[in-house]
Amino acid sequence: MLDKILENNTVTVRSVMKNSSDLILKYAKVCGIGICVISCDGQTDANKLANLVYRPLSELDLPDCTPEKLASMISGELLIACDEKPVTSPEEIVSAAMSGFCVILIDGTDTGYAVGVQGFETRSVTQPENHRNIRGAREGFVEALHINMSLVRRRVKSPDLVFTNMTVGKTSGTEITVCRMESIAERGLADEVIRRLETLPLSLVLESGFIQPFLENRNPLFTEVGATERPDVFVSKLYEGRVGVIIDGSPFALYVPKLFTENFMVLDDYTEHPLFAFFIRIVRWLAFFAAILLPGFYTALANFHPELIPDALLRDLAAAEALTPYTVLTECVILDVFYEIMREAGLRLPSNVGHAVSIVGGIVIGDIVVSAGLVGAPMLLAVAIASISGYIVSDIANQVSFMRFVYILAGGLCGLFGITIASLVFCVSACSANSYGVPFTSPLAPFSGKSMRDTFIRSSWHKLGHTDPDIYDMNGAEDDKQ
Amino acid sequence: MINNKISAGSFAAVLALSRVFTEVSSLPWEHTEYGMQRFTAVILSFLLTGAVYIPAAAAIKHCGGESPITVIAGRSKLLSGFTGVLLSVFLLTAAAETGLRSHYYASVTVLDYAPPLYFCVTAGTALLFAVHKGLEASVRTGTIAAAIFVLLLVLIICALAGEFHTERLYPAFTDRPETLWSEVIKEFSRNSEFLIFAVLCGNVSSKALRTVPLYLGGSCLTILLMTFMYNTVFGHLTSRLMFPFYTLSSISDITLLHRLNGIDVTVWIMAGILKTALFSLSFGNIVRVCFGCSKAADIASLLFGAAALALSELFTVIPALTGTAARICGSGVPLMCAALFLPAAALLCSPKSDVRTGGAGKGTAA
Repeated sequence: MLDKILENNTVTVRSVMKNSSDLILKYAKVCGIGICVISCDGQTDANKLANLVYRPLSELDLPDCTPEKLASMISGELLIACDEKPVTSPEEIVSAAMSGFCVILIDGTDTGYAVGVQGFETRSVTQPENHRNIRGAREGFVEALHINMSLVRRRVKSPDLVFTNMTVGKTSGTEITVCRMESIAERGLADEVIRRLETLPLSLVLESGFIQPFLENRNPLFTEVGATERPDVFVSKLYEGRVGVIIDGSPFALYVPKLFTENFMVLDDYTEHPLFAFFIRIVRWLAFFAAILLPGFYTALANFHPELIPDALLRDLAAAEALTPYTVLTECVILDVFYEIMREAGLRLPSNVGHAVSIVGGIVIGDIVVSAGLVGAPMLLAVAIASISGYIVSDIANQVSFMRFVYILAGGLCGLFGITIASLVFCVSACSANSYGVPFTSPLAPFSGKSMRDTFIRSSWHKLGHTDPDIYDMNGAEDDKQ
Repeated sequence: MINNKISAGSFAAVLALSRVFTEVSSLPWEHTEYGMQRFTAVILSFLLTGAVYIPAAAAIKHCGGESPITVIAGRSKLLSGFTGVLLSVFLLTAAAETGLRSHYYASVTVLDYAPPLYFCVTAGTALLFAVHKGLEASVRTGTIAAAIFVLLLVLIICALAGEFHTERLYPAFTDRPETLWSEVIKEFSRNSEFLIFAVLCGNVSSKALRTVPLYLGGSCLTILLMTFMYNTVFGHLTSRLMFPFYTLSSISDITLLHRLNGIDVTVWIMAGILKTALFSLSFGNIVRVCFGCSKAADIASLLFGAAALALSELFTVIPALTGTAARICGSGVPLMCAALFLPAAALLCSPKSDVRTGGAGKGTAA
């Protein structure tokens, strides 16, 4: 707790901060009473601090001023900032200062007043890097929490949208906000999310990926937590009854629950004609299956079931493979692993070096390896098509890569039978996932006819607009309600 | 693992898929005879099956949606133990037969007579994984497999559109009356899904009885449609066939379908493994309910799955044993025993208050 003697309080605060260099203590006298304004270097806006705090305080003139009078004036009557809160302990003072507040301590009182003068540098709102669209807003989340909250609030000007602020990470003290539409989201869902966040055992939370595993239900392959950079997508998820989490320092907002079919939906589906949306969604599903299955299927057919390949194609494939020194499975594994290496290198390298990697990969691997007879051209084609297709469902690109590799091994070692077994295992794994009471594979399994209006097809807004979507319509009990 | 809830629709879809799997994966000693008589045999067998389900449905309705084994277990430990042992034997036999069908079907299509160990390890891994993930996961996966099967069926019908010769259909209820009843009994004995229904109906979230008409209707229509396609496409010239869909897709004029004739194999192998998984989960439920060993139920399910696969492999290497088992299973006696015993015992054991209120029980098998 704070002491009534100002000097003692400032000494305690310095001690808590271990005399850190970025702690700024500004002593002054207002109406003859000593005060101290505590802030953290780099966290506050100097202009705001001068105009909202220093100037009003220096211009204050109270006859017969006492510490209590001054405190009452600052807390109750003086209009200095919209974000104010009392603080009563050195730890609260330190936490507020590091969050961009300045704390006014008055000699003779045991309560300080934190005033919001945040002014740290932030990235401006730009187009999202990973979730681009053709039509719609060009705004993406940034790292600053309050900007992200404003991006969401601007799209839902309704008191139904509720933000609940929390702090997670014992060391990092990261601020997060749990968002929900109060009348749509199940109260139990929000409570469960908050409970999990409150019991987060991490000391350091630097990105949304740190807390994501604690919102999931330990499914080894598929994540039941969605992440988006787009405020409009985030708002649409909240409108379906989900609960969102915005994390300070991360441009990715999380939401739960997430369904498997959502990986094939993008915002543009809802801005285009339903017919084109249906077409492109089918293309995405086909691309997904091509991405995970094509190399494995090719390996299985070439190794075990050549009778399934049309004769003319079989002759060409056999001619191409006859010139290579490795087995089909070895070729496929080498190419797939090499592609993953190239992808990883392309992601981490600076863009100018990345071009060089692309050239090396494209020319050296794509041309010379084939012309040197190390790898068959059909195999290269299969892996290339699968790799490109994988990016169409970018949210699960990592899972696609893993599944493709498993299918290659299964198809190469056991043929179609192996593909069947791998499919069964993946299917069971996906079907076993329950995201906060909603089956991950719904509305496919369990089947929900009502939700089919926006799964493979996208019905027109004339139909979709009449009913409020609700994620809990997909919990598989629909057919039992009839 | 097992105390999850499934919907009646999903449950019916998986049971129907399991039934059709038995139909398409004929064992060497039971070639299916296609002809006009088969229509009669299918309809009669489903009437018989419907009759089997009626007592069970009545017992479930009487006991407020609880499975018969739960009612029995709540009343008499002795009867509960006897029921558990009886059902365990039937389940193990049916699961081993399913494993044998899966192995045989895979061997002569995509596995190319690979060593038994090869099938055991791979299919066993998938089976145990499905059992480990529980009832919800297995049933939902089965629903997806059923949907793929329906798509495949539509594709086959489209592909064979020009091949149908309806003049091969002629008005005759029976071609060979002396074999009609044996065909009916054989068809009837293939409905081993009744055991799964009787044990797991308490896990249906609500209105478990809706499973029955959906399952019976779906499986009867599918098998009648298959028979229709066979009669009209092949005629009576090829009346004895082993794998209906595999053959149908192979004779298609459409190259794509011809080349994709392995796809239906994948669906049926999945269906076989899932069916065995459901048998295993049913056994887990018996251990939990009838023997009161909740903690051991999950392990028991896994062990049952492994035992069923091992027994199916034993069947493959001992033809005499296989023949005996096939005769017992094909006689429909185990199915009839379970179908009569379970409802009767459940009705006898149900508390009198249930009789008065018309069944207001709230408990489930889990």
